[in-house]
Amino acid sequence: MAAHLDWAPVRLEALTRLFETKESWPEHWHWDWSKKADLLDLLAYRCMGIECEGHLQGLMMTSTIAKNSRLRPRGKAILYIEYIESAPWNLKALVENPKYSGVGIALLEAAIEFSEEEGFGGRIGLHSLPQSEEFYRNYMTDMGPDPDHAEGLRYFEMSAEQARAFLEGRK
Amino acid sequence: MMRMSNELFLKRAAEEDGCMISAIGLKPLYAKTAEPAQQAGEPVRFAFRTLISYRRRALRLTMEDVAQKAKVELDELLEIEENASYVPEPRTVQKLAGLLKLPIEELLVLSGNATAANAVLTEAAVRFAARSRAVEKLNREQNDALNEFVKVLVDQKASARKK
Repeated sequence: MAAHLDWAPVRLEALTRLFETKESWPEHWHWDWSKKADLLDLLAYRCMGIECEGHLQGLMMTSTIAKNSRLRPRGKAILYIEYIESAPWNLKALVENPKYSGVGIALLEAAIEFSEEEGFGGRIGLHSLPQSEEFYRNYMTDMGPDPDHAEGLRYFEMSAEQARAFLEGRK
Repeated sequence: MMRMSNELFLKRAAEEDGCMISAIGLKPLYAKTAEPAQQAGEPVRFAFRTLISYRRRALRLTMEDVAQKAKVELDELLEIEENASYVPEPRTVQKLAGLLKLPIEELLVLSGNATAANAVLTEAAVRFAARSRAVEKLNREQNDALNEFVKVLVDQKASARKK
């Protein structure tokens, strides 16, 4: 995956720095996209990215079959975000002056749009890494740690009403 | 489709403020490679849960309808439709087969409760899995994939009876 190659040098530089300062680094950096690329052969999976100045600024992989809603109305189809990430040079934790802000917002908006296109009413869900929980708590419902998740991550869901509120700026 | 105004986007982008947005799926991207035997079964189990979901929608039944009519817990139904590694009890499979009018023996194979007698069923399941995606209402493409797969299940049952 191009993002892997493009983002790797910045990550490496940040890792070295974080190692020197004995800070912990993001646990998801050993994700191997090539191992999951075959999922994209299935129609249920889709990959979306934001490109600017010739570089990928953010990447998202979604599935239309992974989960159903936990919020009321329960059991409705939702768009599940398998993976979402912003390029390392856009993260305050890694660089002093992040290049672009709003990558997460733009990807969330795209996810809601895709969910609507699929007839899911804008409903989306994801399992957030601990460092990202605060961001998602602003717009989605925190359903708590999910025992079904291999890492026990917290599950967040956005209802159709929350999706409308997100787009209209009511929260 | 409603879009966010530019003004609102800028406000939200400022709120994001370069924070981490990472999320990781139910099947972590860095998960260890499964045993070969498990890998072989994955598309088949994917086909099982998709088949249940499609068939339910084709019959215009909500999850609550199925739970009530088949006397299956809603939580278990959610598990069946979402979790490819979940193997339901044969009794649950039997209830679903009855309600959704699907052949029980083939459904037991797809759900991981029995072994396929030949490769026809598993090959059809892999093809079906590759063509599948969830939608609120099945379109023609999904209906075709579903009908084609159900036909293989029924044909399998018919040929097993002949033997």
